[in-house]
Amino acid sequence: MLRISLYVAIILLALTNCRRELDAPSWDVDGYVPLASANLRIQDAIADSLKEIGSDQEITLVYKSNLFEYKIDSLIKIPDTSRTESFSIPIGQVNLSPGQVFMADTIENNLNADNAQLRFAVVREGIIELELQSTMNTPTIFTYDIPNATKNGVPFSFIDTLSAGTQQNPTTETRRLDISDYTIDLTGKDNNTTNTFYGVYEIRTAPFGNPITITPADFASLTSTFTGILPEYAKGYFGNRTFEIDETTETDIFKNFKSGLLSPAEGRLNLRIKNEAGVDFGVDLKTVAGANTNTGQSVNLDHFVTQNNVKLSRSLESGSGYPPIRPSNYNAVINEQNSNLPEFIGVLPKEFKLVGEVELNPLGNISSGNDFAYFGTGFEMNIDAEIPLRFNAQNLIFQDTTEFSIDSDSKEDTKRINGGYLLVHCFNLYPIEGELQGYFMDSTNTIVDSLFTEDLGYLSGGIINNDQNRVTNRSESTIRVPLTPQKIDNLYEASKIWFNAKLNTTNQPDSLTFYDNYDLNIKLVGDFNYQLEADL
Amino acid sequence: MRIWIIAISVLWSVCTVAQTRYFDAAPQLDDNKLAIEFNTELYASSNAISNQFLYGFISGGKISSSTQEMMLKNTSHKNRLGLDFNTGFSVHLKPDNQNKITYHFGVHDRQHANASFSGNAFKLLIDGNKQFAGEEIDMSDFSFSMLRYQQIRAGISWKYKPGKSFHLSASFLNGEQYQSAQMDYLTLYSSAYGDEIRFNGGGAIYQTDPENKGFAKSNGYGASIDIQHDWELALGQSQNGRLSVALNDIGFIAFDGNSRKQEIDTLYSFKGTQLGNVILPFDTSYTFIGPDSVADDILQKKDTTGYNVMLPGWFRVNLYQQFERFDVKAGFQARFNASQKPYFYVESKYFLNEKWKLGGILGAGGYSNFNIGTSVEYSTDKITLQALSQHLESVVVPSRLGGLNLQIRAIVKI
Repeated sequence: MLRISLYVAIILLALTNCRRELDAPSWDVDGYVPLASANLRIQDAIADSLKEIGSDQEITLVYKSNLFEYKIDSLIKIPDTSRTESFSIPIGQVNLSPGQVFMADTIENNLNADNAQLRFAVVREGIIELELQSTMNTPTIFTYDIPNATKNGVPFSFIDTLSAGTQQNPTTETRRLDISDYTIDLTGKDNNTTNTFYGVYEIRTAPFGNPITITPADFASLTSTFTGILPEYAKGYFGNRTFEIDETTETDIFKNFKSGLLSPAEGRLNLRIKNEAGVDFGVDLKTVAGANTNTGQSVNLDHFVTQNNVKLSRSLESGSGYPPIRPSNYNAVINEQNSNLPEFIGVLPKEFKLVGEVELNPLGNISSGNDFAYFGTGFEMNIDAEIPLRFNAQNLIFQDTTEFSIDSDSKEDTKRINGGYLLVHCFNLYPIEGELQGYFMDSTNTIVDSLFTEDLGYLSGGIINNDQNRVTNRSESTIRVPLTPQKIDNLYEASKIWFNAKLNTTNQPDSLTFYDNYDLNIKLVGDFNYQLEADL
Repeated sequence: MRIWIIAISVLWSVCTVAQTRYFDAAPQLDDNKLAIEFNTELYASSNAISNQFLYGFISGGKISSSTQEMMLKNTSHKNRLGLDFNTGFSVHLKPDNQNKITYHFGVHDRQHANASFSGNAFKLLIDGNKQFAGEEIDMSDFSFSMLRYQQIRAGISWKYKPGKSFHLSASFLNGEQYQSAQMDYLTLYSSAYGDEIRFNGGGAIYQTDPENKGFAKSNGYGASIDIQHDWELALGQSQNGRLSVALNDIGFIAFDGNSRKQEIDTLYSFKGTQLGNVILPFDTSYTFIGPDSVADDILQKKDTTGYNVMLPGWFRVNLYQQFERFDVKAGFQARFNASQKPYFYVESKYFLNEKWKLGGILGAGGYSNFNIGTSVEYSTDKITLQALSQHLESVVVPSRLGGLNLQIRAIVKI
């Protein structure tokens, strides 16, 4: 008996020692595992500021942008000017008594306004810099007045006393004087010219000084420099000039639509030109183009405004506001009836190009020198777009990239997947059909795998309910993606998904309205053969 | 525990077990004063789990899909699984001056596992949820328990009248390990598209301190008694007969305060990671949720508390009659606190000669639906060796039937 018990004990002991070498028992199960769900709403890719939702949930793309502007500070430029008045005697000696004026004059300064003939200006910003120098061995008094430059009715006036200097060390002083808000008559001393103001200066010995004798080596000088003059208001004749327009304005209204042909059923562009300046403009828009930088396609707008010169009359000085002007406006309504707007929008423009000319005073000085302009005003061109989301689409490529990562802790679970399918269930309210593809990219944007390996996934479109003229029931389509352990490994390498959808409305005879309640619901389900392991 | 099952498999060709026979009558000490008994049995039986699956489970590694398919054909609406593994030594002592009393002392290691599960739960476990797409399956009344304890037993047999004897024993129990899951209600819904799994369950999970596992480790203490009465029958000359009625393993174990309890009252819905509008920029960490992760999500609330567990006790009746060249034993067993059905059996041994007996067993009920077994016994005045298996039918048709059983009993009389 003892021997038998011993045998049994030995057998059991031997088996116990084998325990660590045993694998855990496992078997395969077929499971549906919810992986992820997503809601795709094309309209959400359009910023709220770029769309309006109507009472019936119809979507209208709205876009407002400034295409071109030209301001008065670009129109009337006053360059810095400088002038020096100097006194000295050529030979001999001259005695100067205290309080004796030894130099005085009236001088005219020309502002050299660029092609403009200004008669009147209000200074918004500006500096007069006066540099005083004297070798006189007694204090010297400098006086500088601009009688036609007034502020609150008081003419500009400057007086300063320079201490005594020597021939070896002349006394020098520089004074910067703000002339902002000064009103300047630019018709000169005799009111018969333009761009000109005059100053009156005087240099004398101080009354409280001593009599002095000067030689040719002595001198006294006054240098006046006008710098940074920026007019708040200017009046005169601004000349007949032409400005080139070559502007490109980016738009993100179709940012996520990469390529394809979109044929909107209707739309409206409002090209608004506003003239706030008291000067006539002639506008010659040679090209207004919508360009898709992704595809290289570009369509020129074909409309009256691009075929003809537009004359824009001057604004009027009136009203109580500031600036007291009544702008002149020109509106061009561009729609599918009077232009090729559907093609223009259909190219899915990423930028608008504007090429043309703007001519100042195309009819010459018909205002008799009464052109005017206020600072900050000028000429501008704006575009307003309203495009109801009602269109036919052909091979419309919709793309976006989104970041994601798979928790590495999941690897323990996913490595038990023997194979199966990734089921992509699509529930589509959009009346569009198409093909889907997703690319998995790593952190360096290198594509490591694609969602669909063999064929692109086909997405069926929602069926229009003829009574309501809209889709009320979702279409259902399921795309099966063979899933292998290699593809699972690739998913772990991925950090981004690049979605790519090619959409068509080709099976629909008419343009289709897209409503805000439309969406494409996607459910990712794993149809896995999974190795279930009993962890004993 | 698998190792012990392997041991049984190795010895399968020799003999096998199904409904436990661990409480067979103590040896008769007619002229002997002392008997030492070694008894071990393994019993594993189910009306759903096939032997082929069980072999794969025991040996580890991949279980083939054909094994799964064949087994699932056998699945019933309600299914049960029972495992018992008992090993022990007993000493039976008859005092010198007493012919009517025998004392018994024993040390035993006892293990029992019991499971009750619906056919849907079994199909779900074995074949996954895909087959139930679009359905809500009811898996209520699911239960599983596993208990291991060590038993120190002391008892007395008293032949208080001619032909009548009474047996009583009391045991001190060391509760080593207990795991249990009792689900009052349990449903699982898998949507038709597979995009949602919804679990609705209520119940509790019990587990003794998982850090304190191993043979003879203690997580609680308890007590039990065994009571049996025998009536000797004389249906013929020199032909022993006996009717026995017994209650066994009537007791409990109080597990200590380090034990765990998890109550489940959860409606859990999983739809995968919600990515929102994928055409808008987002940055999300996606986590694949496998079955284990779902279980972790469901089983979140844990309490540490003590509790009492009633033993899976027995009520047994058997009738034994010996004839000249053979004997017959017929009986009935019912088990409390377990999913075992009442078990009826009949066993007959043919006396090949004075030392060797060869028997056959037929049974119905228990954890399986029916069983066919065999036994062999070698007996002398000093030694009795018995080997028995009650589940030969599962050896013959392992792909459809499930049952492993082996009992080895050795008695040395001194």
